[in-house]
Amino acid sequence: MSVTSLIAQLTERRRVVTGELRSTARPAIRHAVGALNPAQRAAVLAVLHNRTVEPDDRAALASARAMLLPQAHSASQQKLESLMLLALRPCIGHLQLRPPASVLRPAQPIRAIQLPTGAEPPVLHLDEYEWAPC
Amino acid sequence: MGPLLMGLLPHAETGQVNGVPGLRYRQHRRHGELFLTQTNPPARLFLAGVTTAVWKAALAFVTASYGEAPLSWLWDGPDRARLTEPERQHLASFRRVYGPVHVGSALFRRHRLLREAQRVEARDSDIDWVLEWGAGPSMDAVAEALTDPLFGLGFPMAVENLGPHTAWLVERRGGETGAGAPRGVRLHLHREPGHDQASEQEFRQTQAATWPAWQTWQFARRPAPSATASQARALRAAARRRASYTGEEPASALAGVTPDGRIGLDDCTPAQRMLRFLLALYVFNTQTIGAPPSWRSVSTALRYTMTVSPRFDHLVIFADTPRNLVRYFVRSPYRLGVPGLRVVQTEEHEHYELVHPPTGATCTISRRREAGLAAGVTRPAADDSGLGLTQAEKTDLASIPPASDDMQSLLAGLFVRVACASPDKRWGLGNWWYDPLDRPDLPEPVNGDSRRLWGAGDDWQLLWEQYPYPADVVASLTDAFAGMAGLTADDDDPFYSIALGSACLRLAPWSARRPRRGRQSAA
Repeated sequence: MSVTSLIAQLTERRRVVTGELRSTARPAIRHAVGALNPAQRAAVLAVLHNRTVEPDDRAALASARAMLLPQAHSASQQKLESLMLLALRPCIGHLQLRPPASVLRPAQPIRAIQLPTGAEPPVLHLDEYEWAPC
Repeated sequence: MGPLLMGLLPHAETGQVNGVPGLRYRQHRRHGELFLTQTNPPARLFLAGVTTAVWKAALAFVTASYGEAPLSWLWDGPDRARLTEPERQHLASFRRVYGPVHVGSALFRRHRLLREAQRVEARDSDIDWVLEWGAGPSMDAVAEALTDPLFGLGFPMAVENLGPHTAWLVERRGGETGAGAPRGVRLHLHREPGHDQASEQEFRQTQAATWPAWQTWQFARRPAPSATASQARALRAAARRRASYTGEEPASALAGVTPDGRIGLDDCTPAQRMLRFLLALYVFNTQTIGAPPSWRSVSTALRYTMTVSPRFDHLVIFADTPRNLVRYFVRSPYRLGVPGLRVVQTEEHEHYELVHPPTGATCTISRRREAGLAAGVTRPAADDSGLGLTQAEKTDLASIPPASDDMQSLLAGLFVRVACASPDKRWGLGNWWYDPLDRPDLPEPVNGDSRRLWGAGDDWQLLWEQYPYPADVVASLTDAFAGMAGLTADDDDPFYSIALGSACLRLAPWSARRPRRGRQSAA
């Protein structure tokens, strides 16, 4: 399928925060862009072109934002994801001690968070380290 | 996976619940699923690529991290759909999350913004979240990304008190961002300067304490159920090739090759590296020219037929007469042996399991060559009764000259190759006392069996009489398959110089009649 400039730009910006692969972020962005109404699309373009978003368009921008990178669909889902965020803390010490132990190496267990469209749950891509020591 | 589970999987401990009450795990064919029980709509996350083998390895890591005592898991009971009684009691007194969950969730979905940070951690309170990271992106960049109109947190946030190390993002309720808007959730961003090389060095000295958990994980990841058929075939081929060099049975070699198909003679834990270095020191010092360990006669062990089968976290030595090897290696009232090495288990058919409490390394000496002996060696704690060091052993260990990590690796590599020979008959080491290739066209070396290995730091020297030919020693270390990665050898008269990283070992055979070769290097 063709990739428009809008989809390509939005895909790259989403990948910065989620770490997704292009092949997984692009379908989600394509789906979201396809569902934007004209007001939402105009607001998104205004941001991409560094134009001021009029106060009247802020609601459209907020709804577009929720489509481009969806929020958790329920309070319990938000709770679970908050717990995952909190779990990063006890994880750090163990990751730093992964052979060869290092405090200079980034110590994060999750490589990417894939956010499918619809009600599907997020998919976490974990760093499974090489078996042999680095 | 294992470290992530440390703060998640619920288990009961002395009346308390550790982890997240109500969190459950479900295994699918190609992925795992974490979910909160008794939630509607269901709260769940998929874990891509987490197969049964990955999950078991992660659990092995968690169990090893908590120590020897079996954990009382709450997540895998017979009725996973319901909260257990300890969880119910815990939730009656404590909340799972205190911070506003819509902010926590939004932050979690964006925490890869901090992928370059040395560490990331989040804390919560009733109205605040704290997001803290070390090094990595600047405060400006993170604040800007979290308030980005398209991919920011998703609700109006104003940046306050922005500085290089700290900033507040404050939610403006009602969609207003002006100063007079009602204030909501606060997010405190805190950036710490990164660690430097000095703290890195200091930190590395503490690694030994948690090695077991990572070793356990690595062993658990080892089984091949998750490997594809082609990967398994490639591993078996690598094992057969390794066996052709080391003399192992292919099943044993399979336990030693690396998952990417390398020979795996030098891939080992620091504990193993230290043990092998120690063994090298004791077997390469003998007779009249030997340095102090020589009078302990451990080197006589090399006179016995043996096959060294090094694994990542274990050393196996197959021998026709294991009892004799153990007699030389292990200290007794009659022999001095390697200080600290202990037999902890003896089985039929002369199968001995040994530990070396000073390093935590384990070793097997066995006659059962057909056995893979992949893992499962009991690892007693260093302070187990009967395993403590005697004063004489402490003195002996303290007298060992310092060797850099690179030098230890290099000498460990020499030890594990003592019985290796190339399948194409280019070189052979013959336990350092005979020529396994029986090459009558090569000159006879000087008659004698003295050896001396000594040095300090990065600069060591190995002198020896008789076999092997020095060119064979160099060839064994620079062989395209069996050599040490990153090693270079220089034919620098009158010595061969072998370099690995910063370490330099000079080979000084007493025989000057060595076949000359040019510069060689391992692949």
